[in-house]
Formats: sequence, C-alpha cells, structure tokens
Amino acid sequence: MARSVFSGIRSSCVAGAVPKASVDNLTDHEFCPMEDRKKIVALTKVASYRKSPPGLCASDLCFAAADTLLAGLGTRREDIDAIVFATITPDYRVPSTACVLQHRLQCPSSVIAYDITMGCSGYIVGLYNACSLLKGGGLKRVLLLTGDTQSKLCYEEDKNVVFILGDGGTATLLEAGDAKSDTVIEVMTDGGRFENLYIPAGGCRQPSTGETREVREQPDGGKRSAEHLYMNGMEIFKFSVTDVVKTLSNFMEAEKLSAENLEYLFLHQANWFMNDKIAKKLKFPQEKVPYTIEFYGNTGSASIPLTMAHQFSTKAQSGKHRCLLSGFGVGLSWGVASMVLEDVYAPPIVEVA
Amino acid sequence: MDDQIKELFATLLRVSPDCIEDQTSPLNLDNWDSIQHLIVVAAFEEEFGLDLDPEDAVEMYRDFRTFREIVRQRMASGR
Repeated sequence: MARSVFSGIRSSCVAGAVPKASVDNLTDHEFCPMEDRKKIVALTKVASYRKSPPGLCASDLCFAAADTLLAGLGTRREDIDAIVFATITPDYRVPSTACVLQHRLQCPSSVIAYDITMGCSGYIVGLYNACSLLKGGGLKRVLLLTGDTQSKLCYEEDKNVVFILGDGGTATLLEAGDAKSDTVIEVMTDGGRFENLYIPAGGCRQPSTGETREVREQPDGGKRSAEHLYMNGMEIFKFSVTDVVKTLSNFMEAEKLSAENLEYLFLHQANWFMNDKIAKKLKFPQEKVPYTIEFYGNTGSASIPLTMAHQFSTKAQSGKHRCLLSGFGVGLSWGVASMVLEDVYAPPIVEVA
Repeated sequence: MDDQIKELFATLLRVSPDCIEDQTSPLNLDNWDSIQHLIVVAAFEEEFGLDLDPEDAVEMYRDFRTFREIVRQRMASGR
C-alpha cells in the first residue's frame, strides 16, 4: 500500500502561471448549438479557460511560475537539489523536460531532474516523489513543477473535452526542515481502466500514420482522430464518485480527519458537478472547497496547486491551515495528501503571452 | 408521474416522448451521451428538488426504465 508519512517537510510556497489567451465556452465553440453550450457551462461551471497558442508549452508556464516563486522567496538557484516535473504534455518525447528546465532555471548540474508522466493525479504523485527525495534521499530543497497544456491534446470539436480542459503550470518549493506536522500521502493505481482516458495512437504501441491522424465521427458522438485525447465521461464520473470518494473516506478515517478539523479540501478541478458530488459525499461545506474551475477549467496536473495559489494569493491568510488534497485521472491514477500549510507564500497568478 | 418523467427526459434530450421506451439506453439513443446524461440528471434535481447520490447518477445511465425508477424512488423518499 502506497501510503507514507513524511515528517518535517515544509511545502507552503506555491505559484501558478496561465496563458494570457482565453476561450469563452459560450461565445466560442460554434460547432456546438448555443443551447448545449449553455447547458454544459451550467453543469460544469467552466465559463472560460486559458489556452496556450502554438509554441507555448507546459514547461513555459511552469518556468514562469518557478521564476516568480524563487525570485519572490529569494531562493538561490544553486540551493535547489531536485526538479520534478509532472506532465502529460512534455516539450519532447526525448529527453525529460525537467532536464531542459534545469538549464532554463539556471539550477546547478548537481540537481536530479526528471519527468513524471501523470495528469490529474500529477500533483499528488509529484508530492510523493518530492517528499521521498527529501526524506529518503536526504535532499534539502525540491522544486515540484506540475503543468499541462491539455488544449493541445483535444480535437477542437470534441464536445466531451473542449469545454473543460485548459492549460496551466505551477511551481511548489518543498523543503526539509523541522515542521511539526506530518505530510501523509496515499497513491492508488488501476491500469485496467486506462482506456477510459487516453490517446490511442502516436506512441510506440500504435505509431502515428495517416490513418491515426484522420479526424472522424466516433461512436460516442465525439469527433476526433486516434491521436487526440479520448475520455469515456461516464466511466470517469463513476471512477471519481466511487473509487476516489472511497479512498478519501478511508484516508480521512485512518488519519482522523473530518470536514470539521480540516480547513480546506483542494480537489482536482475536474468539473463542478462531479466535484460538488464528491464534496457532498464527504460532508464538506462549500466554503471549505475552493474552486478555480470557473475561469481556468480543468488544468490537469496543475489544477490543485493552481487553486491553492489562487486561494492564498487572493485572500491574505497567515497562520496554519490543515488541508486535504486529492487528484484523480489518467492512469487511472488517484491519490490523497494531507498537510499543514503554514504562512503560505503565494504570489499572484502570472499570465504568459 | 411516469408521463411527467418521460416528458421531461425527452424534452431535455430533444427527442419525441414516443421514442422513449423502457429499453431506451445510451447505446440506442444517439442524443443520450455522458455529458447530456449529467445535464439531464442536474435538470431533474432542480425540477423535482432532488439531491441524487452520484451512484444513482451512474446507475441511471443504464436505460430509461432504471432512470425512471430511481427518480420515482427518490421522489417518494423525499431525497
């Protein structure tokens, strides 16, 4: 069982970056009738989201977030020991984008830098990696970068995904220290259901061909090629409201956590209807479940820290905040983390042109 | 009540109520896809003042008979 307790780690510094350009779900997407657009926005609460232009990658957004964070904190680049980058939209198939980011961020060559191919659970899996490097590897500072430009994976007329998936990048600095509270993280995996959220072709299993790039009507009513992101919406909904809720419930019971003794539940920003069902099942009042989905959409691995950065940068909040985090999605992979954020440093969200 | 449920269900999916039978399912009704399903569930919650469990929403995606029975049960129990 991948549930681990990490002591003494401070992870209270987080920054986010988004593309400057946005998509308006009501006025754009003219391929879809206006009546449907209105209903989808009412259901998901995604009124708009940020979309990166060609050439702007998840790494650029994470770079902007990291640059802002480190400058604001006054952290020297040579004091970073590791860069962990969680994304499903890397710059290249080879090498790990984290290596490219090491150079761009002017971190020393003594860092360990690698990518984690995880989407919506990427922040939780990334936290697990970062904490393991700090506690198991004895490192002092890990820069955790999580971000995705999912808009680049979607066919522009696939209504199953284009109303929800946006782009964003984040940076979190984790430091070994003498923090009094524990960080507890649990990660789960069920690869038996990977085909409910995946891109069938374009990798080594089914290489790119003219046929795999051909856009066509699909049996589920969507329109896309085999090289675009496919989502079985109902299976993902089912997974989220059953498996994820069960893991969260068991975790909360084991860690003696409840809606009463937690200040915030930061959920992956999947869509409002689904998240609202999850929060209600766990008996969290709305004011304890921050959302950014209305204006950033579902930003994959960035959505949890982007929501944290928004929450703490727009509302001055000193002191301690006991938080529960949960990410869930491609893999299928899902996870939960509990931590105490103290005197959070979160600069305003950066816009990247 | 059954007619009211069928009427609203058909209206939301923009099909004639005559097209809706107990065996109607996402497999044989093109307009009934996952997004439309959640839109329909949310509309039923609002129309009848229900707060359906997410498990109900999943189960209701099986066929119209299941959909109608769950709505009826939840209305009877006041949830």
